[in-house]
Amino acid sequence: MKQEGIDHEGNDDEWLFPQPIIQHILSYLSTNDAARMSLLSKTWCIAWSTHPILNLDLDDEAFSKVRGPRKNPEDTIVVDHVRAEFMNYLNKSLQRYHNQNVCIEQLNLSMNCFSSPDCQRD
Amino acid sequence: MASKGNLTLKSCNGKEFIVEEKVAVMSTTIKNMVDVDDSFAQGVIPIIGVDGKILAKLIEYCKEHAEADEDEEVKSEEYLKKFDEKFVDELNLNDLYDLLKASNYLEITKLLNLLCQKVASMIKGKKPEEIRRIFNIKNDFTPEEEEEINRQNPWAF
Repeated sequence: MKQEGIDHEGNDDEWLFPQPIIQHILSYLSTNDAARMSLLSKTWCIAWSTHPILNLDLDDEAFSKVRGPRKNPEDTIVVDHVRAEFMNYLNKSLQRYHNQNVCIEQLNLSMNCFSSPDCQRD
Repeated sequence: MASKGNLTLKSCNGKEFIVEEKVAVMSTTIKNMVDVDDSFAQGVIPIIGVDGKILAKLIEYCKEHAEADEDEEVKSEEYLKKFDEKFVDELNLNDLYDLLKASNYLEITKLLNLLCQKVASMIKGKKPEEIRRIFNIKNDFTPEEEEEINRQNPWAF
């Protein structure tokens, strides 16, 4: 018999998935959504941090959020800030895979460094 | 006893299904069993941990896709797309969970992709608390651990 008080939208059993299923689900999410899933539980956190497909897209909503809604996207300071945040994330991610000795099967890197007229090569 | 070209699949609660071999071997796990040991093709194949209701759903899915693979004229890509959409839309959360586990165990790749995409679409844009509530996921972090994750990806939350 069904327990009373269970949300009709909710699931009765706890969703306990093996890592490959969680990683499969994460592969259909944007960087932003996938990263947020690391906060669900330890299992999801490990699945995210060892996910063999690494998507890094400067245009991802995660980095547009750094820009802030009211700031002018062409503003040099803002562009530099977003780029710095992105590079920081890129470095940290690669370092994390290296430290954990986790293989990267696929790395999708997408960034447009020439959108700013003041952009210089690092 | 299944006739030639057919296989008998038995769920964990004892329900038997006679299915065409081409339908059953959509599952890589079953295909490997039949390939390695001929006695499976003659007798009953036990599907461990999958009950009759879920097995019936799996067979329904595999039947449509096996038939489409054989004759694209009758079951076009468009038809399959619609079938897939209807198939996932009609699932309740418990069935979605059970089917995900079963399609992973039985290695039915197309179905696993479809179901994972469905879960991803349900997760998209939602807050962790909301997702935990929907899927009944227990938060096993200490407040300190939670803070550390928040610190790592401040833009994600």
